[in-house]
Amino acid sequence: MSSFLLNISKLILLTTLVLVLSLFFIPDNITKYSILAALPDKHELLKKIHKNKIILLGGSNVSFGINSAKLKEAFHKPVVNMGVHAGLGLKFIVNDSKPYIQKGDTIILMPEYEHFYTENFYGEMELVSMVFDIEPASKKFINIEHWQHLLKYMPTYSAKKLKNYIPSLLHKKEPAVDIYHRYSFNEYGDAYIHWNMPNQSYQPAPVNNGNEKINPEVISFLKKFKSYVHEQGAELIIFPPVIDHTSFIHQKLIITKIAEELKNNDIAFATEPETYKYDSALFFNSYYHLNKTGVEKRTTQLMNDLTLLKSE
Amino acid sequence: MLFNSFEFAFFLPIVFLLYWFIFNKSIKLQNIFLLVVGYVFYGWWDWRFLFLIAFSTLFDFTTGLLLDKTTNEQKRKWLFASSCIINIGLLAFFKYFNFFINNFIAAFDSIGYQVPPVTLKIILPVGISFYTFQSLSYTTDIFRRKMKPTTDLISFAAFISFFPQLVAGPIERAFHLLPQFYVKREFDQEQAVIGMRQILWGLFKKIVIADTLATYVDSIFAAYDVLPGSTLLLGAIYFSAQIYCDFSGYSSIAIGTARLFGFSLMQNFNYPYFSLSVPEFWRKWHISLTSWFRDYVYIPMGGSRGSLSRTIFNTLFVFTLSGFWHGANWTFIIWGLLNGLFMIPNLLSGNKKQEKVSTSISIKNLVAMVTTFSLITFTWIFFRSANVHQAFYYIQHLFSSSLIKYPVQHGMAITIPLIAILFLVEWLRKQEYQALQPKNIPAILRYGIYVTMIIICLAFFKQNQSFIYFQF
Repeated sequence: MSSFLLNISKLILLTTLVLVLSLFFIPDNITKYSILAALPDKHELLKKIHKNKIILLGGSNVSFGINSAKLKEAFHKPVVNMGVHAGLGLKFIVNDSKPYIQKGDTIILMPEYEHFYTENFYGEMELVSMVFDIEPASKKFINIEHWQHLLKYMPTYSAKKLKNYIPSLLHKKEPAVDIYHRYSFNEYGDAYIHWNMPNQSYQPAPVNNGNEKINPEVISFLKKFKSYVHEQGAELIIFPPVIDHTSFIHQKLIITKIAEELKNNDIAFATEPETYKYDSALFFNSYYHLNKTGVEKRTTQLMNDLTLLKSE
Repeated sequence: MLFNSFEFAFFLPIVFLLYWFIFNKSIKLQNIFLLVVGYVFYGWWDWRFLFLIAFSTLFDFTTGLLLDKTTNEQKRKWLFASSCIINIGLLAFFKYFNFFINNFIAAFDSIGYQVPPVTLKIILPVGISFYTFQSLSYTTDIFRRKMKPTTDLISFAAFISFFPQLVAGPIERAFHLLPQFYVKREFDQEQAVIGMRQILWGLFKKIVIADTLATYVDSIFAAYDVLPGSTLLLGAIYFSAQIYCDFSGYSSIAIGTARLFGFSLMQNFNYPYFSLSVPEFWRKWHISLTSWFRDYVYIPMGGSRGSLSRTIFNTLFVFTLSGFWHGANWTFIIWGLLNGLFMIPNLLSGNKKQEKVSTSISIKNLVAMVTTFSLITFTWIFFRSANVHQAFYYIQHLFSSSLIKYPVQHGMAITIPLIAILFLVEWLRKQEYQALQPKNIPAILRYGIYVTMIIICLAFFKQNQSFIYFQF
């Protein structure tokens, strides 16, 4: 038995060593052109504008779902679409935006529903990629508890880096700009490359029986964020994300639960989630990613909702 | 808890260490521990269904004792019938209730009668088809006086809920696995090492090959109405490799895990895609289920002892039933029936006995192998399709003029090498019990192979990738 355990320990140690070396020393040649690498570019956009701006926050439902130019035109305010990927986690997405919030700003948060009842709130492999390879300075937003949630993604991420590294040595050309490329965003931060592309097939969200509990940490986190925004002299408005019709039906129980929980905690969605349930013909390649027609519809609806809110 | 999850990566070593260091003092302690572990493992999905396993266990345990005690043949038959009714009844309720009701309503609808829909929201307990068959084999063998019942409830309950094979087999026979619970297990390093290799190869097949292919299979089957025949052919071949790697991967992990705890489970796959005929394929694919149907359905029906027409009927019946066992959908029934039909040429040629398996490479063997693979792949289209309409449409488009077009990419740069690696490794190792058996290799190189495989598994790992056979 002891020699068996010794051999297994050797194997684990050797594997861990390779993974640690990969995590810290192997350059990630793939993610530096990925959609995630757009976040530092978006920070640059934020740095240029000091006050009275509109910041759009959320995952890819935001980056793939808004025409910021129209918003800018309607409200005569600069707009930055900070949406990148829901896998960064709501906690990181929000914390990352905090240093840029200033007096007179309007923060429009449109979190994906998964942030409220899955580990998605803390981020997934995309966040590991962000803090190790894309923007190491963003480690400051991750506390010990947060690291605990990310730990399980690290071995997989290290191994994926190795998997990507070997072919990248042979093929050094920069990848062409596609829908998930760093440069697939316009000057406002909207993903736009797909606007002229035909829709692709996608799976709707799975059926949810509504049994999951809403993570209380998300609620208290959002409440604190609301207070923080107010302290800065800015305004926070939380909108439901846009979602395709079938997915909405599949997720209706949990969506209702989320909306009620937010309402009970004085951080309610600005409109009923059902109002952002769109026909699947308006979606590009995921139940959260709109095509051009969908983007226009949602932007117009968002403008109307915002105008209505301001007039109240 | 999935075998390919981080939860299991923590669960297994903890259970292993507790089993060999804390609960190794007596057989009873070992069995109690395995029973608790089995219930924790199963309860991880849905604790409510633990009552179902506990009920099946208690019922069959008691039936086994009563069957042994009773000498009155009529009474024995009643007891056995009650075991069949309860076991199959539970399976039928959870798995087939809505299927029968829907078909009943559709049948009435077709003759102009409107029947209000009464489908229930029934959740299928994971693994019910597997443990029900395992439990049923116990009472059947006692009824046939092939084995004596156990008087040890803990051993029996641990046998039914043995976690490595609880949710997707191999479906063990009581006479093979149950006696292993009667003796104290001693740690056997050689077996444990073989077990670890089986787990690693199983994970590789599942995570690296099956899950990678699954992405492309899903997208091809989702867009079957717009893709050319050549891509649909690719989708069918991908699914053949996917289902093999998914299910045989699971079986390898299950058998390997059992070895770590001192148990030997039956082999479930024996390089089936190198078979030269459909009957040979079925002797090598999901062996535990095929042999279950052979021993408990086909042979009691008369097997091949009667006339040719009777043998053909028995074969078709058993294969159709096997299809139905997989799921409450006409696609599975047609899949089973087709496989039964492909057995007929062999029966007609009078080759009822198991023919010798040729392992040499010759043009004749190669043609036979490709033909068998093609026939089996054809049947998988029904197995994979969501409904019969989709399956027929898929086949119709597959055999259209677009079959000769160059296929739409669908990841060929990664999938073709993966499938090639699989077949190459398995071909080279087909005489061995399992594929991953590095012999006469220096330790450093061996470790290099293992570490590389673990890293490749991690690199390909995707969260929440369930096993196909969990739905059965």
